[in-house]
Amino acid sequence: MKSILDENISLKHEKDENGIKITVLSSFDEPLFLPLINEDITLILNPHVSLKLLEKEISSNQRKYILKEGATLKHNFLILNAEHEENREIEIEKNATWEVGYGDFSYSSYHSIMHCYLKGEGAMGSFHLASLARNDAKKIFDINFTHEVSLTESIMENYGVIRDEASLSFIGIGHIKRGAKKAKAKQATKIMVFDKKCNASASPILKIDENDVLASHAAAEGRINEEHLFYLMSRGLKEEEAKKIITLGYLNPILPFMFDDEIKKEVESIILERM
Amino acid sequence: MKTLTINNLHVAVEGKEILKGVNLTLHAGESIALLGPNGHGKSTLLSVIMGHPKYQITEGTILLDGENVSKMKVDERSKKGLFLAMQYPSEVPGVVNIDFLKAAMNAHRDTPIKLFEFYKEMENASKKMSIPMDMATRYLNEGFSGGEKKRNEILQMLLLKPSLAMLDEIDSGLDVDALGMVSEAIKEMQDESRAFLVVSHYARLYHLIHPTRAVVMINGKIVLDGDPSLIERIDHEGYEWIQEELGIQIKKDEVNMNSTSIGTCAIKESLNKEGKK
Repeated sequence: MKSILDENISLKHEKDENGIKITVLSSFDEPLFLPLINEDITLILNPHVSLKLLEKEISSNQRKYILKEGATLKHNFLILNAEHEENREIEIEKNATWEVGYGDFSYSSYHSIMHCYLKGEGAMGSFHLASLARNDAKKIFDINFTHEVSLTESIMENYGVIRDEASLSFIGIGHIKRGAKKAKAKQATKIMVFDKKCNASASPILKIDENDVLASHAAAEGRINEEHLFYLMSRGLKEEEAKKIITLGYLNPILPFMFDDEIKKEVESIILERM
Repeated sequence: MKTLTINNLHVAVEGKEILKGVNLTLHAGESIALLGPNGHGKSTLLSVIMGHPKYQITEGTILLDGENVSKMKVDERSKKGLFLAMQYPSEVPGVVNIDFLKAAMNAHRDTPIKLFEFYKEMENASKKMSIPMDMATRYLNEGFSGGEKKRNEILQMLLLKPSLAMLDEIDSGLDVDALGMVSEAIKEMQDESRAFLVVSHYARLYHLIHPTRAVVMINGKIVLDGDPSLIERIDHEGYEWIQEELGIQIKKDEVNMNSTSIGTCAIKESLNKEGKK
């Protein structure tokens, strides 16, 4: 996979005191990746450009993404090590789409803050997260969508599995501003807790200043289903193996949003390995 | 498996005793029809033999060829040849049917099954159960109809080739064709090395698979153990005659009528109920 920082006729790189600005001038078929670099980065997708972007490293520097009219960013995150707080801002203009498959399987504590602004009619943000928290890690995902104009849509699905003494929080606000008529916002959060000392919290918030909208939010937390475990074990699967398979099943709703078969396989094998 | 011996088995769930001293011995080569009114412990017995964590054995033993089954983990029991086709198979979201079946088959082998061999067995079993191969790529039992779930249970039985297959109301929810397929699969597996313990409320399934023995469970005990003619008699006359002939009182199903009706608050009712517990 090629780096988005490499020279390419479809990319324009600029650098000033505000960091690096990358403009994607035309669409890419092949996915690109963003390597770890300790600079603020602004990525701009020109109108009607589509790009698949993979990020594996977390930087403490600011990341900003601007999707111009009709642009599509299919964005994958596969986080295996994270020690920073990450801070991302996304601006989505008219008819542009940001589609995210986010897999976080790091052992460390982690604080992710995302602010997504739906700025043009027909703008769409679709965010799908699977997180596995183990040992004594404390993870916080603060995912926010702001609907600024009408006919905008946001989907947020967060799935979490917690083991040992780890803690995991899904917070964030879906905000529909006054005048954002026919906006749609959907938030769903599910957390499965394995051990007694785990700490789970899910508090998706909807803040709605407009009447003519469609919005829903749901949160569920629970232990592994005893019937499921019994069923799998009654066919010969060891307890650990059955738990792994159930966990994989629990986290794999993000797989359809991973754009590459290689990444899908990697996600599956990491879940099995890190469980 | 040669013999499964159940001795004076007492089982409780959440403090309530359901099995009250079950004695039963099964030998390889036998197919046993387990009969009895609803709520008298048939499903409990099967689940306990398989090791469902909900049930506590308070007294008695289950021995498989002399080995204490109740000390074994659920997966060990499966590896020893026990199999339970469940009355209500779980829907497990996100777990792909075919991946699960492969993992289950591998659990019963020393070396992982070759892909080609696995597909051959799958195809063969799927054909017998008339399960389209694309169902294998769906999530385990999710969105399957009642009949499809039951056929999927028998498909697993065909793949795992257990030495004691316990079938809990496998015929409920099956249409005539599916019942035919299921009974064919059972018949094909009936031989000297295997035993079947089959719970059903209908003589129809038994007519197709020809049990060698019939036992009747009432009030958490086996009260009759005899030849298959028992099936006919119960099918025609019900269980009342047992009450008279053996002088036992058949406990009726406790039906807790929900006091909720239109105009009452269901949440309040259930909270009240919780409070009383």
